[in-house]
Amino acid sequence: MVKEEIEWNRPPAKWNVEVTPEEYSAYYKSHIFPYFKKRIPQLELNNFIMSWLPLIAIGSFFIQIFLYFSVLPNLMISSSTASSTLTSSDAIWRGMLSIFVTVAITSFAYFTYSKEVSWENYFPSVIEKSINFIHPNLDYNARDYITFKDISASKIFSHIGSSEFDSMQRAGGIPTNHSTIKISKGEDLISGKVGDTTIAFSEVSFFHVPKASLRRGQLARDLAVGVASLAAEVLVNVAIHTASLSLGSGTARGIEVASRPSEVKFFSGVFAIVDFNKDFQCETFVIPKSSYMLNIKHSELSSNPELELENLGFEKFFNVYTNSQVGARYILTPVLMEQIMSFTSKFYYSKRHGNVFFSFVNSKMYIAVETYGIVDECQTGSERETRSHLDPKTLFQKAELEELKTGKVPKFVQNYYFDTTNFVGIVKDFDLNTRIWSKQLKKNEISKDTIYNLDGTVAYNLSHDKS
Amino acid sequence: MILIIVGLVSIIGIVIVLWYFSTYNRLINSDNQVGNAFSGIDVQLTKRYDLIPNLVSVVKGYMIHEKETLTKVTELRSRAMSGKASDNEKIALNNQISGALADIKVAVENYPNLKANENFLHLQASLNEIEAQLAAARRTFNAMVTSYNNDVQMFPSSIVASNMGLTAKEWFETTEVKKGNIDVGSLLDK
Repeated sequence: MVKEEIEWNRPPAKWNVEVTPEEYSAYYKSHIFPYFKKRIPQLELNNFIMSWLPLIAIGSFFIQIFLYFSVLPNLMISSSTASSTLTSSDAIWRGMLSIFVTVAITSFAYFTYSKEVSWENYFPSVIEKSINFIHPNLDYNARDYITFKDISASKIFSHIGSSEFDSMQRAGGIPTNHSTIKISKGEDLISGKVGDTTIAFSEVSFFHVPKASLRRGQLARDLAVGVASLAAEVLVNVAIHTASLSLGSGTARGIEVASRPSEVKFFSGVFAIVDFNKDFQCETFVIPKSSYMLNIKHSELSSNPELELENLGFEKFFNVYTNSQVGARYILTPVLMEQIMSFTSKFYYSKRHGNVFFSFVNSKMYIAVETYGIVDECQTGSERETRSHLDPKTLFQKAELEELKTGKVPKFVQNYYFDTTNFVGIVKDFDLNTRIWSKQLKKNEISKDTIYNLDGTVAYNLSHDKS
Repeated sequence: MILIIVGLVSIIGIVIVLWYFSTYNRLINSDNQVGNAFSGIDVQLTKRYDLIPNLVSVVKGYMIHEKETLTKVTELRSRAMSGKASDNEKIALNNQISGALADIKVAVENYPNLKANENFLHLQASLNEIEAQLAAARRTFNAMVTSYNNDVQMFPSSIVASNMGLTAKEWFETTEVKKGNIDVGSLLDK
């Protein structure tokens, strides 16, 4: 194997990865690439059709108009008129024929487009094949995600937004139609068991409407804001689309927020729920010091005292909040603090990732890794996202297609490999299969989709209501 | 002029009195937190005392050569539980108990039947749990003691502390867990 091909995302030797980049690259070449190699001509055809479809339609229409009215004015369409001047009914007839033929040509071109080899079908199948290879016990579901209801159980983001939101949550959960918080997107749920440990993670992205916007909550005003935001969104999308054509890849974060004037994205990234190997009742949050969330008032976390721990390196990067000092130290052992640092450092090397948050609630560990991009599969993924408002069917970028043709692992697949191995690696990184404490799971009763409490009751079921 | 001086002096006096009382309260609070943290340790120690008889009764049938260690651990437990021991003595006794329990853990490796015993496995998990909880309680206690000692020893709060008769407290330090020397020779002979 050529050495240069494996320069990407090489983890240091101390990181636990189930599958090395070399192994994955070999697997990609033998199992994933051949399937798509056959379909590359169709992919190119798809790209051609979708890029030129408006031009084909408009061009065909005007050529016909030109033919029917200038080059062939004496074409005997109507037997009753043999003169060179066209009657109005003839003109209408010829015009309609132009439209009909245009529609026919456009439809033919459109249906030549094959959805089977579109990005929408390509990417999930690459992930599915990759997951099967990286860890065969895990299930993959392209359209599913960890819902905001589950994420709110982690309480990492409970303080975001307004005090109203906090009080609503304290009063017993957030209604699904609550307007301050709504999950915007999510996909690629991976779940299952790694050894004795149940794990689930997916890409998620959610927005909130700032309190200020809610205050001016009259219907008419809301509607006006809604219409204005829609118009702004369309304009910005067009601008981004144009910019991305001229500037190539890369969508600035600022543009994403600006594209939704009434909503503010407060998290986008990968969220993981993992069954912890110790049982605990307290709530402990490990929030990076660099996080913007620390600036937010009305923080539920601020009601919990900040904990000072012995590990100075850890203290430098994280703030720890807890409602039980002893409980937090029971969870955050010196070893676990080192493990958190080591896990977080994986993402510091990556430009695509931001802060890493941890919370320990109800005997579960929650990890949120911020990523840049709306739903971050890769940089091109976010472009695809903004472009999808304009195109009914999503396409491969030209650069992506070129990369795909080479047979090497494309950049967007490399990114996916990096994220998946890191998240599957949580179990090893945090030694979660070591269960020498009193938390003993009833192995026979474990379902792939369920996280259990110590007493055997179901704590979290992935096959729950996915609304 | 005199009025200004009197005013300034009285303001300084009021500030000092307020500072004295707030420092006094902080020290009391800090002292109480240390006491509270120690009671957290005590809870775990009591749990461990409760577990020791069960552990001894399960392992004594298997462990023929460790009778001495088992007797020692039982005796240490009775002394620590007697109620006569001061906090510092209690810490010292419990360090010895930790050492003896670590010896037992090492010795278990020589008894495969014991390692497979379900009661023992359950006890071992409970013991590990208590040890982990104890470690957490100890770290909390030490953090509280550090904060308290800073207040007691650092100027100017040390003045208030000495007036109150408060002195620096000791950390709950553990003795290094003895890993036990592995007898390579006997392993090779087997």
